[in-house]
Amino acid sequence: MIRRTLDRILEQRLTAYVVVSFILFFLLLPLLWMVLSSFKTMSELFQSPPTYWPHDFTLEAYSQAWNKAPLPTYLLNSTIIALVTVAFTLVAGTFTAYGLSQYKFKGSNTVLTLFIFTRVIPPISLILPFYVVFLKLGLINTRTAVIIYTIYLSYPLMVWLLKGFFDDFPRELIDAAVIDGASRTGTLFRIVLPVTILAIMAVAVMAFMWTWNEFLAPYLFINSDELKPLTVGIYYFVGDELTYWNRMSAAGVIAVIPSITFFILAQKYIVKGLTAGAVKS
Amino acid sequence: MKKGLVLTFVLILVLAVLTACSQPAPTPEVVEKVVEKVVEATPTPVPLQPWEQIKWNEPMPMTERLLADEYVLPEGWQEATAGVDEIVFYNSGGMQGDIATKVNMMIFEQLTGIKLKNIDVGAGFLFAKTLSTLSSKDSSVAIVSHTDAPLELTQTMAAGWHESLDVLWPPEVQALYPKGLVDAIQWEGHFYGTCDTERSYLFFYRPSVLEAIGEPVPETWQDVYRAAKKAREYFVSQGKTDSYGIVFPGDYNLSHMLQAGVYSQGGRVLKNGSWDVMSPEFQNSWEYWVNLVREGIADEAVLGYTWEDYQKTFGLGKAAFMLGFSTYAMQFTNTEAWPELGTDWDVVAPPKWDASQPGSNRAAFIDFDANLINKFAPPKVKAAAMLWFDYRRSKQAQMYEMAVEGNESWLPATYEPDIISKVDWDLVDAAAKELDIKAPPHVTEVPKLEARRASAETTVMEAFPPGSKAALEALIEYYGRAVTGEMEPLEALQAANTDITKYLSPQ
Amino acid sequence: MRLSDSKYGALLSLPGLILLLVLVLIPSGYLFGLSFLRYDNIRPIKFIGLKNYQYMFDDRVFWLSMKNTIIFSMGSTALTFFVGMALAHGLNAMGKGVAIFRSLTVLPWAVPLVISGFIWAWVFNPAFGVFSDILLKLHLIQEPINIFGNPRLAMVGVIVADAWTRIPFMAILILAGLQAISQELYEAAKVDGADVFDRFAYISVPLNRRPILLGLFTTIMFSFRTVDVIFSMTPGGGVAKSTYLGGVYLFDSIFKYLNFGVAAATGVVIFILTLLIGVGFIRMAFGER
Repeated sequence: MIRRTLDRILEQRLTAYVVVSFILFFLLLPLLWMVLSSFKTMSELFQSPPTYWPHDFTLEAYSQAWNKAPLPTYLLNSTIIALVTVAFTLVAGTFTAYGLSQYKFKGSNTVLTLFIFTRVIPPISLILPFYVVFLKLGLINTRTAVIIYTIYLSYPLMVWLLKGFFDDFPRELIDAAVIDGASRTGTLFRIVLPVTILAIMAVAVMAFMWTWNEFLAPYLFINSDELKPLTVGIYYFVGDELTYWNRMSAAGVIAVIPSITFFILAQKYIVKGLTAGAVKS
Repeated sequence: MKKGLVLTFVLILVLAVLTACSQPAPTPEVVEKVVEKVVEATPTPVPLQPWEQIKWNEPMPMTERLLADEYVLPEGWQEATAGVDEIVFYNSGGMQGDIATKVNMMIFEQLTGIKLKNIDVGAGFLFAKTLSTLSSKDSSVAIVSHTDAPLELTQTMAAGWHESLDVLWPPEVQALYPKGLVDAIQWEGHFYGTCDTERSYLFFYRPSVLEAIGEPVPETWQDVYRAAKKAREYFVSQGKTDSYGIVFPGDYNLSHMLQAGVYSQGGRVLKNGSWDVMSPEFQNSWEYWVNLVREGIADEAVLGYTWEDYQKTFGLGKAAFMLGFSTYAMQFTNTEAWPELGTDWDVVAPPKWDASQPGSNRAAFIDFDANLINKFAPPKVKAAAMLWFDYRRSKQAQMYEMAVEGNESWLPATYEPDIISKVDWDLVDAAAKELDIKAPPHVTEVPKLEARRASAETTVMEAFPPGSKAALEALIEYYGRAVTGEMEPLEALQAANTDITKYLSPQ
Repeated sequence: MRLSDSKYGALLSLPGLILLLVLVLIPSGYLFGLSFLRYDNIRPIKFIGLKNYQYMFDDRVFWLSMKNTIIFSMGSTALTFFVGMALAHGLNAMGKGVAIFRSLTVLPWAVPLVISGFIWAWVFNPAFGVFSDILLKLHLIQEPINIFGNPRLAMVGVIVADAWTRIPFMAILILAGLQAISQELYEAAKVDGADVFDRFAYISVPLNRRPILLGLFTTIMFSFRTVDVIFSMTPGGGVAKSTYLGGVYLFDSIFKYLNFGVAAATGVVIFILTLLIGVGFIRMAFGER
């Protein structure tokens, strides 16, 4: 009886909207709270009970955040680190995954398994060895150090996901192209990549996010203000004397705007990409 | 192929393991060097280090240079620091909060032409950042700073990561400073640290609340307990359920509260160089601070309060009492920034335990920031850093800490009534402008100088052995368990003691 | 001249392999090596065999951190999974406007964990936060809840902040899987009289097995070793060490107590544990291959 009633409710299309809206309310509440806080004054922020809509709507926090900390520099650094990491892992990962997927060799399964296993290692435990090695190479306090580390973070999963996409690619098409006289590498570029590009985009966006959000490695590897990415830069709004929640929120809003924009633009590809690859066996 | 591949992996793994195992360990090297130095002290075939070439007692003895109203540079500093134009250092938190440091940086730069470049590191991560720098022998940062010096100093000094500062601390200079500090910055007979800022404790109270509950200014911790209980009842009766009798930190600085309880009974936390938390004094103190929360006189939220949170809570007018940093006696004079508190506050020296104790036991702990030199920095930079340390501990520099930020001075000589007249306020304003913050008020006298002096006279300094950070962690954890009723107070202390014994005994 | 296919494959994968060697194996080997040393930065470094492991296994706090890690990781994964499932199925059932809802779903993904921790700490703040205030206004509670001052609630708080950033990935992954299932299958099932629950149990879940497992696997993996939210919400591991995770134990061993040997041993244990979970999942998801 209950089951029947529930079934009838769940069968309704409206139910989906209600459920999703309900969840989204909780999912977006913190973001909304961050945005609202960023427009409040310090005294309003420390008001109990809290106000919802800012009484004195002010952009002060933004100008403070923008002027006190070199936010544009932080943004630029985050972008550089993320883009280089993505570009590198994308190119290297494509070749690796393509080789592992379409041109199997003895031991290629072992290699693949190793890739998965490396993703499993807790990165925090490798921070110390990395630090020592970077120091010997003179890479401490450079973006390169962070980039190498973030490559280590995203490369294995990238290969793994990409391999899934290539696995689904019909082998006959590749063989046909090769028989027609195309080189194997040419086939990859002319036949395979154009079809799988959406999937690859999806993986690229994910790698971008992972890198963009990385905190601990840049925190420990980088000293100069000119080289810090946003995640580390924002930590500095947690002041010694007072935590400037409004400035933190403002900086947070600035920090997530690029990635959110990027995400909204790319989310179609993410869903499609994941459908095309990782999802199917 | 497959087997070969796996074999290669295993081989590389094993090789890496072996390299790690056979790493020429940094520590023994350093330890040996320290030992060698002691042995080599008499025959000196080694060329002098740059800082040894500085004539620290010229043009006048070191003590006189330090005590002059305007600091005097030692002779030979130019040669020793030739080519150095910048000293990089870690600063705890943002420079915006450290205007006195900024002023001193500007004065030092005017004097020597050497710039100080701060890297701001959030207090929560400063120790981690410092350790990663030192353990990897990173030479780019010359000066590191410990904000929890009494707990942290011994760890990095024992690791041998610092340059010895023996040239800065001859006996006559040691005599100028409190013995507690001098003891704390040494390790195995060598000096490694110097003081940056320090904060002693004062007892803050709100006269209006005392009046409302009909209590005099508390003299003993027992008075405090009784009055705080009444204050809480009073607040509740007024409908201010978010205000409490007393506020204090349940975070790292909890140890300072426990210590205040111990010192006010004439006890000490350390016995034979190790934590003695089962002493009667410590047990009393422990139960005292646990019961404050258990009886609802203090908010359970204090468990999560840092040094900053709890003093802010007092500043927001949500508590009748606190044992707070003397620095806040300066901050609260700015009534605009603390409208809820306004002028409704005052300070006295920390209470003694009970009426039977002598006045000299109106004692609390003293907390200080220490600066140390990264051993791996280039020699000339190290010499420059020592010059900066020399200036930093001088009367002139300490005066700015006191007048501009309200920090205490390590130099008793700084506590002169007319000290404020020597402050160059134009410079302070310029520093504020550079930091883009509001200029501090141009005070004409250091607020509450008497209470400060009284507190500074009785304050107790203990330097804790390596492993103490873990010991403190255990205390904090079990304090939480005791406060929330998960364990009985003394049962929790006993359990903490078991952990502490383990942490302090070598592996 | 032409390379054989298998050699070509090996050639293509070679750069990746080298990268793997350099970036992962060497530091890992280094880690294993360190775990056998007495390396406390006070006394000379010495080979001490398994003493670090012994010390660690004797340490009450280590076990506490392991227990917390398991609670945290399970809690975070469960929350992520259930909310993610609900969202994905809801989105899949939607018609018009699905693109907007989907865009909104992914937003928290874009927020770095550190920032997520800060936001949630602010939301949960008993005096100034929105969480207690809403509950107060709804008369669900009488007094503001101080999540992080309470050892029992602190864990819930960090789990929420952690799961929050992971839900979108889970939802999108499952949604992608659902969209790959042919609509005709559902129609056919409907004709046969299968209700929502039957279709969920016999179509949506079994046919979507791989994305679900992948999502679970990634979430467990990531949450098992996370430290970011702890740093920004309950620095030091919370009241009475209620949110003290294995990662924090490791971090503290290095950066608070300077005991690199014990830190390495902890790293090895977490390494092996995550590996076991990983292998289990990979077996489950791809066992048939």
